[in-house]
Amino acid sequence: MKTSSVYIKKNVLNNDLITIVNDNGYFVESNPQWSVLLGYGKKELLSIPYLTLVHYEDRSKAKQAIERRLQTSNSEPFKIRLISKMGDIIWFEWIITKIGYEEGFLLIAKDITQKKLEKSSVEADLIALKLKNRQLEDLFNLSQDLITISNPEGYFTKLNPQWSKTLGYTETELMDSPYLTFVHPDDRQNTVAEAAKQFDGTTIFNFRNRYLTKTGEIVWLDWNATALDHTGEVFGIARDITKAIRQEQKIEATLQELIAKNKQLEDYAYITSHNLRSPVANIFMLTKFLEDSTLTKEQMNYTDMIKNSAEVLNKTMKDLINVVQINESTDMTIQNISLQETCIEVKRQLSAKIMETQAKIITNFEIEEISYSIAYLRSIFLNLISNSLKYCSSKRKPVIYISSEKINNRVQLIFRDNGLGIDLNKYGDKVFGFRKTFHKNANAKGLGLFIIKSQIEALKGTIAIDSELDKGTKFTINIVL
Amino acid sequence: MIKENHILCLIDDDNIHQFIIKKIVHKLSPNQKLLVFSNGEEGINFIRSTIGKIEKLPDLILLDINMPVMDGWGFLDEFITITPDIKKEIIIYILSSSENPTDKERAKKFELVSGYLIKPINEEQLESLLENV
Repeated sequence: MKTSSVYIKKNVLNNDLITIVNDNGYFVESNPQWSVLLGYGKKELLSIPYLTLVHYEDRSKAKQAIERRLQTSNSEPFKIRLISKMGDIIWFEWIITKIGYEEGFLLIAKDITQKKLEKSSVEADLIALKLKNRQLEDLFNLSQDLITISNPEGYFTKLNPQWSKTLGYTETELMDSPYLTFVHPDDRQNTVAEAAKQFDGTTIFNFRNRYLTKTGEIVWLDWNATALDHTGEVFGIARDITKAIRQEQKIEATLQELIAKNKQLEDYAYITSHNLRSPVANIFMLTKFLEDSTLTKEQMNYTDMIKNSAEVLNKTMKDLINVVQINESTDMTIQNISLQETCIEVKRQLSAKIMETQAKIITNFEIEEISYSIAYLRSIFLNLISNSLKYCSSKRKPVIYISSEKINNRVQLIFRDNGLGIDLNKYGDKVFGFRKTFHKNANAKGLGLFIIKSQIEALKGTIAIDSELDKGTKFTINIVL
Repeated sequence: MIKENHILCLIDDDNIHQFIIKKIVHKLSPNQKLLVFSNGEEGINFIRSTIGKIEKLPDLILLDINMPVMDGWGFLDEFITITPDIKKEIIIYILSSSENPTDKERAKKFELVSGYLIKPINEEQLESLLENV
């Protein structure tokens, strides 16, 4: 028996595949492990060229490797995949040894599939980890939010570049001093208190404080932060909301200014009316005394005229005060109100005038109930219906259509009549003005439309007019829901 | 009927209004006693100085709000401090041309103010006021 065969026989129980390959590339001898791992019977193995067992991608590599080793007596192992009878790919480490006195070589193949797999999965994990890490790193570096880790001693230990961008300090500068140094002096106490909470394990949401930039400008930050139990490190994310705050402050300032201006205006109206009313009240009483004294007919006429003038003046001032009062005193409580009921109430109030003019009021409320101020809604109905009655055409019986419908997020209320109409080309911009009248009607005070416009606008709505002389007038009111 | 032994008091800086009130009061009751002061300080000084003489203190005060030196509010604040010493019931009405709701609200906060009248006040109003003293 040849040595090599003895060698193989001795290694029957070896886990490695051991074989002798002859010059023609056929197995001469093989241990049983071949059958165990590759599923071929011994006879099969001896009847096919060994290369057919090699993964087709590895065949030329295997051939070259074997040749090189046979020529140079290099015994370095190399990796080649074999295909089992079932088609599984199995990684082997091949060791080729020339057998001096025989043609052919000794081939030992170690199954390294497991090892190879393990290695590749570790590699894959590593790659995935690196990728994840890079993504996190990118997220950290590119974030517009300010991200930080700080230690229990009150120093920043990690900062993303946004910090330097926002505060103007270098990262080192920011890490060299306790972070409280960079907090606005007025907010330090709050910040300390808030930071202390974290050691109880509280996660901070929406804590707001101010930092100062290197140039001393205020930066407003909204914080979310969590402490790690075991290290006491705090992970924080802050958003720079300075722009929004500035905007808010600007709006607030404008609002305050407006409120002050409005108050001023109100006071002005009261003071003016007060200062005017005192002498007017006196004129009233004095003319009364005059009337009671002996007067000539001419003097009597003058007294009458003075009295009338004083009355008009007094009334004007009362109206002016009423208008000012709209803005504050009237019941502004918003509640659900039925349009139909409001209409009926107002009709009752105007019943005399309705009978007199034989007016017809047609309603079609698609939206029957709205949230509004009861006083304002009544005022709208009263003013618009009584206007329609006042300025009806003598040529036809007045018809007033009132309708409501929902358009997007608002309710549209329409009052339409067939009355005298207003020449909008002439009066267009004055229709809703204070004490504007457009008809030769002694009772017209020119207040109704002015008042309802103020009321509607006070509740963020709008009113528009459309009118044609001797055809009628249409008012469109938009009520914000 | 108006009781002539009652004393009426007007505190108002407006000369013409003083004249008007005098005239109406005279017309209603020619012998009615009427004290007139041009501002709150004059009014409070008089009351302080006559505090013990019940028969000389007014029964009804008509008080204007806007006045120089001491306005109506100032008068009321002072008046409150001396009320424990006044052994007479004195009725006070605000008589002002101010329709400012702020003023009306402020007046309501004074318990000793019986009402808020707006100028001009006519004969009938004044008559009923005097009758109710």
